[in-house]
Amino acid sequence: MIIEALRAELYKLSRNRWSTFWAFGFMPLFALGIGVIEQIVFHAYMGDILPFASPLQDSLGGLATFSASIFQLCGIAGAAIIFGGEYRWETWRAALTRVDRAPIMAAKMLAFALAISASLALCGVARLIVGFIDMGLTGFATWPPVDAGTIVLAHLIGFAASFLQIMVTAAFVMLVCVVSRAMTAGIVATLLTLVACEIASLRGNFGDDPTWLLFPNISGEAVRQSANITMGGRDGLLAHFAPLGAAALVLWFILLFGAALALFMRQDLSKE
Amino acid sequence: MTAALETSGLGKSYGRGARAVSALGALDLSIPRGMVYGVLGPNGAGKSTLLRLALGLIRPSRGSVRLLGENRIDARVLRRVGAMIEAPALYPFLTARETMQAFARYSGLKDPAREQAVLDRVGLTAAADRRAKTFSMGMRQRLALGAALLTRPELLILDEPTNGLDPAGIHEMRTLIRDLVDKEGVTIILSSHLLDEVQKVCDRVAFINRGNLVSEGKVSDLVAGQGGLFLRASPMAKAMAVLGARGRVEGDGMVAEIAEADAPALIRDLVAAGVDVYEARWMTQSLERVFMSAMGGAA
Repeated sequence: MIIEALRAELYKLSRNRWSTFWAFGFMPLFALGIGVIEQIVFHAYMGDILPFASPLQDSLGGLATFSASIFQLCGIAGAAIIFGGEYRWETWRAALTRVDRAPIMAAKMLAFALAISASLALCGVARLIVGFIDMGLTGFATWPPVDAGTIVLAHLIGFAASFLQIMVTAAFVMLVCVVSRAMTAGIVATLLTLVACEIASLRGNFGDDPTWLLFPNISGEAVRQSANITMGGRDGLLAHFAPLGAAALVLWFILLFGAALALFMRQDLSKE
Repeated sequence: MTAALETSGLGKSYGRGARAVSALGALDLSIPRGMVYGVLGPNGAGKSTLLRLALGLIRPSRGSVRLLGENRIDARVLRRVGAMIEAPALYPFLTARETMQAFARYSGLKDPAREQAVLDRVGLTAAADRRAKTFSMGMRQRLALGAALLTRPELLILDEPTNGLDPAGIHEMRTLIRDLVDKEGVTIILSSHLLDEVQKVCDRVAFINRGNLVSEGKVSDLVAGQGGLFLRASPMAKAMAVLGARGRVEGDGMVAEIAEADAPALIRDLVAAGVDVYEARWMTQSLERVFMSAMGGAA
């Protein structure tokens, strides 16, 4: 049943083109567009800050696109459409006579995971392209001092960091949408919460206290820094907390998704 | 054969303690299969609450509900049911055809021919590639009905199915409902405010008021025996003298509250008494009058 629900969710996403573009397609295009403009401005008008390009460092940086709350906005909107749309269009009563509640919520989360994975991967590809443009313009590039397998591993770790972080955000959006029965509340409440978390956890970036890993942005940063080290980059203050950070993100996801699901299973849909 | 829908002491309250509002009291109802069953009642009577409870959209506060013989209402049983509750539930960004495809995927159905057949059946072939958000209320109603029919349901639950339909649409809907029951053996539970329509299409009805069952029975039984003989005759005073306590003046004539079988004898009596009878017509009791009587004027 979950596969059937997933097919329906992906179909709906594919037909809701405009919303899907802004939710999942805009950020890779933005990363590419901003990168190209940045290269043109630096090379043509301001001169190179660094006389060499680092395409693989750029692509790893691209995988960190969703690290800041403001860059998660599109993903948050996408999650709100997926989790809050049925309340807005009052379509739960049509969907839930075909699929049970748990499979449909799981399918929605899977659909989001697939869409955001594609978006995140494309962000990495976009920054890789920018890195190669940089290389073409400067005529010189540096490469990580590690083998190809380690580079792939570093990219996988970088991807996992951002992916887990935005999945926690998505689970929070789901919870807010279920509680409020409103798509807009899912967007506004989540964005405000993320900004508040970033402000409240500024000290957590010093890496002296693992308690700060309770903030998903700090946990995500810890995993991202370990990806950078894996590829031969400089040490980060949080990198040694990476396994703990990954565990914290998984735990947050399970808690938020579980809470949203538990509430939804008992929710009266007398009026969506 | 098990009932299509069976409730036992079914009740639903919202809120707790002194603030609790009862939407459904303790309803005992058994809806047989193979017929059109009307659930009637004034606004706030609990009709939609009953239908939502039947579909598992809300949880009962007390009592139990059995759908197609199943105690546990999940997708396994709900896939044998088609439903259209309140306003049509449609995705505004999908066309009519895409709506069918989305719901077919949810239902695990892989039959494009069925999707097209349903669109044809509800008269949306020409508008199949238009987005639902551009549809009129009547077209939305048709599309929602099509989505409900997609899985060839054994039971169809329709809440105000003729809302927004023009007279021709209402007639088509009535024909479709009767065809589904008479030719395909589908059971239909419908709620409606249009009592005239209900009388034309339903086999049995239940009257619900303030969350409780007021009356239930075959439509033909409910309206039978409560008719009257409408007479236009002159002189009226003489005619009324013959009718006695059985007669009352209505409009430009009189109504004799007698059994249908007694009508010929009464007409003979009137003629024998020197009354000129210009019109004599047997009036069937309308469901509306039965409804008003059952509701005690609450409707």
